[in-house]
Amino acid sequence: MSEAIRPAEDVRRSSLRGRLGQALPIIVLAPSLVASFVYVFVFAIWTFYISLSNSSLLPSYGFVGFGKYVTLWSNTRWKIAYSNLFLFSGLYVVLAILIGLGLAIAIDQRVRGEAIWRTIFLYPLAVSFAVTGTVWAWLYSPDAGIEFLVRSFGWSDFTFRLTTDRNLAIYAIIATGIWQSSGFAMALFLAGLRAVDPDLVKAAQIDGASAYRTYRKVIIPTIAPIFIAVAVVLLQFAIKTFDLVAALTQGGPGISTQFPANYVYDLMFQRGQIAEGAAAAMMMLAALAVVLVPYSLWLVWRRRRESGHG
Amino acid sequence: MAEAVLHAPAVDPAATLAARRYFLGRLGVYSFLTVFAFIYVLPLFVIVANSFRPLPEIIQNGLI
Repeated sequence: MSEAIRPAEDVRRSSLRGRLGQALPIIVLAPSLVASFVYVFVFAIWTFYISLSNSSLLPSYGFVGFGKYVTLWSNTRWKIAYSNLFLFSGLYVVLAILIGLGLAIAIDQRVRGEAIWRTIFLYPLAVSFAVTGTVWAWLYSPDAGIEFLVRSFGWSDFTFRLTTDRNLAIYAIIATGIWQSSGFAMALFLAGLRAVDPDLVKAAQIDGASAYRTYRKVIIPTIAPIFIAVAVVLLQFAIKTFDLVAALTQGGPGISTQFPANYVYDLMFQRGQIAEGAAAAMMMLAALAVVLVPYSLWLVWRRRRESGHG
Repeated sequence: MAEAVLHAPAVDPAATLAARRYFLGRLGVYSFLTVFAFIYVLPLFVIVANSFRPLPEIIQNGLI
């Protein structure tokens, strides 16, 4: 409206500047967009091609086909690693969310010394997985850790040896992962609980809802998006798990706690079988896609539905 | 009359019940937090405590 009254030159200059201003976000974002495109898609496609090639110690480009995938899936160690990935991801994400939510709800009951509790539950996140794994390996160790302590009190046939039992070692890794990450879930849930409209809670209380019912029917549905955010972040922690296993059990006892990331590292850098390692890496990408593709489709669907209603 | 009003809340069974329920709730919340805080702090405690102990003693007496 105001542009119509201005002289012609002024309009042209301001429209040039306006166009530049409109393009500025794209210009600023372009380098990082290009970089993410190259690092995600180009390298993923390159890895896929390598997995079909005859690479051994160094990448080479002779096309072979899907033979490496067959070799990979005929290996028991890989099958154990892949099923461990699903067991670990499922239990780790669900239990970290439940414990994090429990802690957040407990802290949200106007407890004294809230900052102290929060710090205690959040500090493991500042510790790397490698250090976490090392410390817990000491605690789980029968010769020096919890078992040794309890036996020294006089309970001489007490057993607590998670990492030396091949059926239980995976649960030791899950428990340690939860120890590390549930504080993160707690922090996000606490932020969500604080953001819930107090009027909603008051309305539920006036209607005579018990505390349990208020949480289940009012507060938790309100913070539902946080569950998804936490689950996605934890899931990508879970799928790239490497250092936790390397420090805690080294994939043992036997091959019971092999993980895909450790397997890929072993094939690529220890055994010089880059093609099979790339095939294993592609299978990890597939595991991630199984979760992330439905999630992004759901996001698109929800946005469409919301804009449809609006 | 005034005395009766003053004494009335002290024997009100509903109020005692509510107070007891509140106390139990607090106890539950704090014990839940304490149990988890113990598990979360244990590794840190082990690291800090062992950093002050000589190696032979750690080998002999264990880490904790």
